[in-house]
Amino acid sequence: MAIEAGRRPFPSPVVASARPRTRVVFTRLLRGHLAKVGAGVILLLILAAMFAPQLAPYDPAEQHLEDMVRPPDQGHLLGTDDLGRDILSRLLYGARVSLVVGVLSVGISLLIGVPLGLVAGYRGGWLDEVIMRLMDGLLAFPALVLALAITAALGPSLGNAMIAIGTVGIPGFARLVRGQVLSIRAQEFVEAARAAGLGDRRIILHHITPNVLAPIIVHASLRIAFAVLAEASLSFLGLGAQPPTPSWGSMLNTGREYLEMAPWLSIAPGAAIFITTLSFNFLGDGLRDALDPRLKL
Amino acid sequence: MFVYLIRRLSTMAPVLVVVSLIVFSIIHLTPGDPVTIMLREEADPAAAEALRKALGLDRPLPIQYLTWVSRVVRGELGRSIRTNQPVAEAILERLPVTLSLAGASTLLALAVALPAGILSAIRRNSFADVAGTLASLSGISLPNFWLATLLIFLFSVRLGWLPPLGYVSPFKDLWAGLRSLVLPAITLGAAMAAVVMRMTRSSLLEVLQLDFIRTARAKGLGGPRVLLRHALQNALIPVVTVVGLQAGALLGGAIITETIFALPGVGRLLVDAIFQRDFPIVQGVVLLLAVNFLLVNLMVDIAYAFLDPRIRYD
Repeated sequence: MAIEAGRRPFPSPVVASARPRTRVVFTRLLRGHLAKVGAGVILLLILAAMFAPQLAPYDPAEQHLEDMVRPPDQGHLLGTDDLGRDILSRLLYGARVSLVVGVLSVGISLLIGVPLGLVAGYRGGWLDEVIMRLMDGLLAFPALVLALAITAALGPSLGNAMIAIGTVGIPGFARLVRGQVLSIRAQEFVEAARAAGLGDRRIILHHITPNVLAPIIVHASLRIAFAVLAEASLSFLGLGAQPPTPSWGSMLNTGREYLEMAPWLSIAPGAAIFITTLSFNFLGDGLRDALDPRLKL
Repeated sequence: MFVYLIRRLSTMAPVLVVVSLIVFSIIHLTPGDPVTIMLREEADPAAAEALRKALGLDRPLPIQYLTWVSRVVRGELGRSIRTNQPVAEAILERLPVTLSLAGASTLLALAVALPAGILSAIRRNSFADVAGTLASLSGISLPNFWLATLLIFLFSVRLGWLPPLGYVSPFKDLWAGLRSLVLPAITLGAAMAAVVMRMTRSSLLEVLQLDFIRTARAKGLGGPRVLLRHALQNALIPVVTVVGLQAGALLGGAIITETIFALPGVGRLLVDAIFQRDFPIVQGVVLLLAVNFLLVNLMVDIAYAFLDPRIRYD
């Protein structure tokens, strides 16, 4: 009964004064010019990927063997590749691949890493030990090596590359969240929630998770940059997207073979990967500064 | 220190167990029968059975794991299913190439990043600082395979100064060896330089604001002396961590660099093995790279004790 009575005055989770803080974070984010540039470019990329069928002048897989390795001109703004396919069209469709792989693989890392970190940090004890040793084991591999090992085992395909990149990201999220939970679970509002008789699941979901969201968002945005780069690296090695799927990494790999006679084949996809990764890094840095001004130097 | 070392090594043990489980699982993660995948569909059943036996895949999983681990501990990593060469021998043959590439990249990265980071910090918000910050952010985001492509295009195709592909051992021909390493070392070292530069800048900025620096200046010490004797000595401690972590990751980055520049190193061996579905080689190389990463981290931790007398390990 005392517990029941205790529940009533404790209706909403303690999330550091939501609205004003959100406004402060947003203002700080806008103040960072590089973050603004990053966010703008990412928005353009999303639009380009969404409207690729409308924007692309040609079908990305359509081969025009009479137009092979054509330099940029009015008909093909970025030229054509070794099979006469329009590079601009492939670049626009390639944005879909990069963004989808980037977001979904980070989604995999989030979906597995965050719950693991929450449970390890909140429960502690042997469960924490087991989860964190497993995460340490995954962290013992250089990221690309682990991604390559998983792709090698599962077989080369875009889906498997996504799983591999997602798996590589799990320990980062788990560690980050566990660290945050360790400091939060000792705070009074969690004690109060426990005293009020709330169950572990409710405390974790409604009281702890909202308070660890900020570092998760920062980490996720920086991880998308890594995921885009990793997908391009795997596709470049022939272990990611398979022909004829237009992927920036595989386009660059093809371009390398024609470097001497057709450098434009390499320049456009490389620049696209670089700009996308840089934009996510700018945004991640800006978010970090906005959400935690102490880190700004 | 000795006690710390023992304790640190003991924490490595469970991690090594997890690493071994992951590496062991590579062959078992394959969808379908790994032997059919390795030998491809057209393999005759007798050959498939022989390979299954040779790899111990006909035995229960825990026995397979224990046998594999006991062999690995003795340095037996199995044999390549394509060339029948012992895996350890194949790795050792190619390791000098990868190590010379990693060494050259680290030296190059430090030679650029440390002075650039220091300059950025002592000339904060100047043109040099902004340019350095932008360059380091770009370095982190630059795909190394694109950088390699651009470098080959400029220095090999257009200017003809450096060879675009291939490796010459510096022990056989020093000049040709160094020339063959320049472009791969820049490619591999660029990201490391970017990270080290950022860390040097932020760490030095933080130290320069501390009280003991003000005290040193108040005592009348000159700028260079304060910077070199007081600030840098403290600021470089976190930089060592980053250099260590990056050096461990370099072997991972070497995979792409070696593939692009056709260097016969461990990374190239891994990529070739993946395409040839030579799982013993894949397992051996992945295990080597993970253990290397762990050992480098251990060395970084130990180096801390020597660099920072405030850190005590007992």
